Amino acid sequence: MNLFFTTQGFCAKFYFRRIAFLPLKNISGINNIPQDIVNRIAKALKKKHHFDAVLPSDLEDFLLRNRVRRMGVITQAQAQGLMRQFGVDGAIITWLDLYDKGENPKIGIGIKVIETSTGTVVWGNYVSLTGQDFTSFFGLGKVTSIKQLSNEAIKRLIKNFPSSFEIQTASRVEKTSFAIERFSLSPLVTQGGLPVMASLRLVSLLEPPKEIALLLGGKEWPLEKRGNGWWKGEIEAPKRQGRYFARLKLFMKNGMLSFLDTATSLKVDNTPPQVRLSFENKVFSPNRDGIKDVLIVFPELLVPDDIKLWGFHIYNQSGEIVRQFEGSGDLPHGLAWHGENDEFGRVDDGIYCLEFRCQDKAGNIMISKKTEIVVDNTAPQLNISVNIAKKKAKFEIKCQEENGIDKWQLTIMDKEENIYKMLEGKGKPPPMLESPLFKKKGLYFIIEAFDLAGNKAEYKGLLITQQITTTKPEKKEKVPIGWDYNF
Amino acid sequence: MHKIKKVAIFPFHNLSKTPQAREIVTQIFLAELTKANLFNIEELGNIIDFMVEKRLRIGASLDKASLLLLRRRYKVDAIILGDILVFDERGGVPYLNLTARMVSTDTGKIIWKASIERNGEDYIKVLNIGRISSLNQLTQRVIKELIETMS
Repeated sequence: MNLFFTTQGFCAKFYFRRIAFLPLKNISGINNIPQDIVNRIAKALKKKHHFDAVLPSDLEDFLLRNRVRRMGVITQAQAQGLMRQFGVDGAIITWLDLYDKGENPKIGIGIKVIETSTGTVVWGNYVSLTGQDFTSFFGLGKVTSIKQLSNEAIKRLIKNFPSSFEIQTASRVEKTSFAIERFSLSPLVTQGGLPVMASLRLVSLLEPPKEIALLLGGKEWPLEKRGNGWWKGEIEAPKRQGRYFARLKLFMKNGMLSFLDTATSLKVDNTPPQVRLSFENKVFSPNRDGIKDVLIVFPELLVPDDIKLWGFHIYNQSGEIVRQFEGSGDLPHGLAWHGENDEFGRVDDGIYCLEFRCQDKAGNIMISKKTEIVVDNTAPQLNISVNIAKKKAKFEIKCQEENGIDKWQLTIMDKEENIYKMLEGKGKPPPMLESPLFKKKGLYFIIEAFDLAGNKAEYKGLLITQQITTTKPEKKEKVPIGWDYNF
Repeated sequence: MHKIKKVAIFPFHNLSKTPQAREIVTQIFLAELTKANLFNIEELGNIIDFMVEKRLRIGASLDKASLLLLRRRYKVDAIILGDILVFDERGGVPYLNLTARMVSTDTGKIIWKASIERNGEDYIKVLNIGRISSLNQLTQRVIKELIETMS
C-alpha cells in the first residue's frame, strides 16, 4: 500500500491481492446466456494481475447464509463480510444487460470493483458491441458469432483494469458488520414523557452484538433481545418538544463498541393545534331562497401540524348537539351547514352555538370558543301607511325584526316597471319617507326590507289605494323533466 | 462542484415503457461516472438499503433530514437522481431521453442538472457511418455526454 496526497485528501494506493467475483447479474431479459462469463473474466484478470480469485461457486454458502438476494449491488456490511470470511480486498460485480444471438449479434456487459472495507466503487467499465460495429467497406469484417463478440467484449471490458486502486482514506465510513433490516418507533409522533415502543431487526454478518442500546434525546435505553435478530424495548419520549434522531449503540462481545444511525426520528409535540375559524353568514336563513341560505366555516391551521381528528359540533340553547361533522386527517377547506339536524330535518329558528375540536397525531387537543350563530327563517314585519297631501306622498313605516334589518328600498314605478323614484339605505328604514307626486296615473310603490338573515318583507300598493303584502320566500319552480318543444 | 468528493447514485426513475431501463441506465451511469474519475462513488447496495429503511420510493424527492443522514452515514457530499423519459427502439432506431440532477446533501440545493435526448441516427457522420443501432450503446454514449457536462 502506498500513501500519497491529492487535492481530495490523503489517498492510499492499494494492490488487491485477493478479489471475490460475485455471480453475474443478468438483466438482458434472455435466460439462455453462457454461465461462464464471470469465470472467463476472472481467468483473464488473474493472468494479467496475478491476484487470487474467489469464484462465484465459492461464494454460494456466504450468499445463502447472509440472504444476499440482490445481485448486481452489494452493501458495505456484505462487502465487509466477504473481507472477513474470504480475506478479499475487493469484490467484482458484473452484469449483462444485452445478449442477442441473432444475425447481427449484440452484447452489453458491465463491471465494477468495490473496495471491501469501505464499500466504495473504485473502478468500473461498460462495453456494448454489435456484430455490425466491426464492418468495414463492402460489409467485410462483420462479426456474426455471439461467442466471438463476447470474447471481444470481455477483452475490451478489462483492458484498462488497473493494477492498483486509489482509495480515499479520509472518506472511509464507519466500520460495521451489521445492517439494520428494520427499525421502527411507535408512535412516531407523541407528547413528551409518553411511552414509545422501539423495534429493531439487525442482520449481523459475524456474531451478533452482546447488547444494544437505543440513543435518543441524550439518554440511553437498553433493548431486549428477542431472537432471530429482533430487539425490542420501551422508551420514554423526551419531555422537550422537538425532533429526535434515533441511534444505536452496539456492545460487542470483545468489549468494542459500534454505532449505527437509524433513519428514524421521533417527533415530540406538546403544542395543541392552533386553528383560526372564520365564518360566512353567522346569521342565516336556510330556506333555499338563494340569499344567505348556508353557514360556511373556514378552519385555518395557523402553525403546520399533523391533524389526526377534527369535529364541528352545533349545540342548541339547551346545550344539546343538533348537528355534528367529524373527520380524520387534514382539516377541510370549508364546511357548510344548511340548517339541518343529524336526522336531516330542519332546525327551528333560534340561537345556536358552534364549537370546533381537533386533535393532532401527538394527541394534543384544541377546543375552540363557542361561536353564536342564528337561524332565522322569519321575514321582518312591515306596516306602511301612505298620506298624500300637497303634491307629496308621505310613507309612515313601521318595521319589526328581532335580528336586525340589513337594508331597505322604496321604489315608485308604473305598470311597465319604469322607475320614477328610488330611495334606499342600510339598516332599519326611517319611520317617515317622502316622495313628490308625479303627473302620471296608476303609479305603484314597493317598499322592501331585508333582515340580516336574508329574509325579505315587501309592501306593494297603488299610490292611492294600498294593500299589504308580506312576501314569503318563493318556492322554486321545478325544472321540466323532458324537453318542451312548444316553448 | 469542486467541493464534491463523494457522491451516491440513486436508482433512476423509470418513466419509459421498458421495465429493465432503470437497472440498465443506473448501472451504466455508475460505471461511466467511476471511469470519469470525478468523484468517489458509494455503492448502490447501501443506497437501496437506505431507501428500504426510509421507505423511499424510486423517484421520490428527499427531505433535508434524509440528505443529512446520507451525509453523516455514508459521507456523501451529493446525490445524483435521474429520470428515464424515453428508452425504446422505433423502426430499428434506438431513442433515449434522460434527465439527471445532483443535489447537495449539505444544502439540499441542485448543483448540477442536465437533460439529453438522442437517437441512434444523431451520430451518423456520412453514409450511415457512425449510426448507433443498439439501445445499450446509445445509453453509454448519451451518459458519457451527460457526465462530460459535469466537468
